Amino acid sequence: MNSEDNPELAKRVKALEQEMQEVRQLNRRLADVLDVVTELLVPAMDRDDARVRAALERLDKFV
Amino acid sequence: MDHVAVSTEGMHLRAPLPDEPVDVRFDDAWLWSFNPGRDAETAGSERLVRWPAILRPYLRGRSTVALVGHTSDTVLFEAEVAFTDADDRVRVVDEQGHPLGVDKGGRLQRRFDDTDPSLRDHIVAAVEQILADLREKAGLDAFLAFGCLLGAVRSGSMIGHDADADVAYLSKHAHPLDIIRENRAAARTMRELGYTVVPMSGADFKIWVPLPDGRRCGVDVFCGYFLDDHFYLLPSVQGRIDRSSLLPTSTVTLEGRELVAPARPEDLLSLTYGPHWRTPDPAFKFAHPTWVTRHMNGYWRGARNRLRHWTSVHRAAAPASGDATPPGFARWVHRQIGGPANLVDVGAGTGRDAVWFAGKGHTVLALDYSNAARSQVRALAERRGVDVDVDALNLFDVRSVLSLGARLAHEPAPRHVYARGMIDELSPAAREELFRFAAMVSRHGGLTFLQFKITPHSRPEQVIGQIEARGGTVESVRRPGGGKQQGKANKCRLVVRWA
Repeated sequence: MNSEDNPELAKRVKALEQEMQEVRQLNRRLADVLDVVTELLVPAMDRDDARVRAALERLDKFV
Repeated sequence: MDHVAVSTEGMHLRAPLPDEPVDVRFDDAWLWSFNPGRDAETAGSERLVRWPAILRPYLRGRSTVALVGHTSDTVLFEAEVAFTDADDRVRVVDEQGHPLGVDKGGRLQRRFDDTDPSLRDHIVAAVEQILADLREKAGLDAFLAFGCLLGAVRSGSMIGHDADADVAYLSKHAHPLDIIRENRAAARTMRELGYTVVPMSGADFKIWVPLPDGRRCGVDVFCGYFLDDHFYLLPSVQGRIDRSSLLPTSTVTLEGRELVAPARPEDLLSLTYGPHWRTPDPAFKFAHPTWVTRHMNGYWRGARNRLRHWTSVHRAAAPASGDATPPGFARWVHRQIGGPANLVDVGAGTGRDAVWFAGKGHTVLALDYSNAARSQVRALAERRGVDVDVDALNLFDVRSVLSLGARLAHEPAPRHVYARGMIDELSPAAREELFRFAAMVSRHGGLTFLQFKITPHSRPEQVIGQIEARGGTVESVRRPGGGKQQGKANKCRLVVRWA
């Protein structure tokens, strides 16, 4: 069967493929964010800033 | 009539060529190889082998073009060709004037057989050191791969038509996120060891090795991994192979040095190059199934979206191209702003707008993800005698957006953002990053000025919806030329304020 036989199905497959790519791309975006957070958290704690400490403690409560 | 005619389009074959790879030589220097059976397309009564896109900008002036059978060494065609009226010889060379050729990936590269033996030894020694550092310092199961492995197994030497060196490693992970993090950690380690490392995707990076003659050689480090029992190897190999074909590693000899190789090199070579991998073929091209390309693009690529295109545009552009009259949009924004202000030009390109703004007394920061563009902006600013700060911003990379955004947001000054044509170029996700960046850097006040072409992918209401969803307020919507311009795409201008 080709796409001319069932244009509706072909459209859905194309949409699915697009959504699949978006989901795949999330891995890279999440890795980006993790990199930024990792780079920042340790030096932020080293500054011994009460606000940073409080923010992390707040976060901890939700983990 | 000759059996071959050469034009700026390609080589017009009016009679069949023998069934072997064909080397294309310009003024007696190898430039490219093709396979007539595979690369020629039917064009009327003749067959046409098109020039690789990367060569086209170079086809100016004249050259003696020769087609030589790679295996038989027979000259199949030779003639002086005038590509344009210019009297110059066609020169396909790098910045230092070294001749380049088109590799199997369609990129312009130097070649190993133009490299003298001491340089080859230098390259192989560098590969040996890189393998050792990847294994011992970065903790990867790294081994020789692709052309280097092929050369080692076939003849113990580098392959002449190859121009880069390749190594690979088998990932310890089976989830894309972990594979990316492992690759980045290794790239970081190598950078800390003093290597010049360029990330090419989330699963491969390039290490530039400086050569004694001032040139450099790229050593690519590709990730291999198993996902759901399928084996994948960057940049685009996929197939069935047993883990025991790869690990534990063995060794092979390349240019007299013993290097780490997969457990059974033949198995990986067969998967990479097909069953005929033992027969030399300079015109070899990888035939990747579309789904593998989609897999690779989806998981690993995107941060360098169209970067190669923009780099070649900016490298090929004449240095004066930024001198043209500023676009109407820049003049319009200047009027909106009134007096001198802080301005960030996102996607500065040639620097035409940024330099013009600086000339009008604004404090300008020009941002672009292309190194070639940034060089152009600096050069134009210098020629015009104005100060323009230039920095890198990659809207396809969240790290770039967050780190530069935070640094600028920290400076307590109002700042306008100017982005002409950026919406047209960006994927929906990257548009979100543009808006995130604009909102961050105008935290202490300032407006964002956008101009884009109205297309089905960028309708004003859709762009406005995206901006509003991010907390922006569109203060003004303009369609220059009353929304209808003869022969030109309709454009839309937006003025945005971020809360």
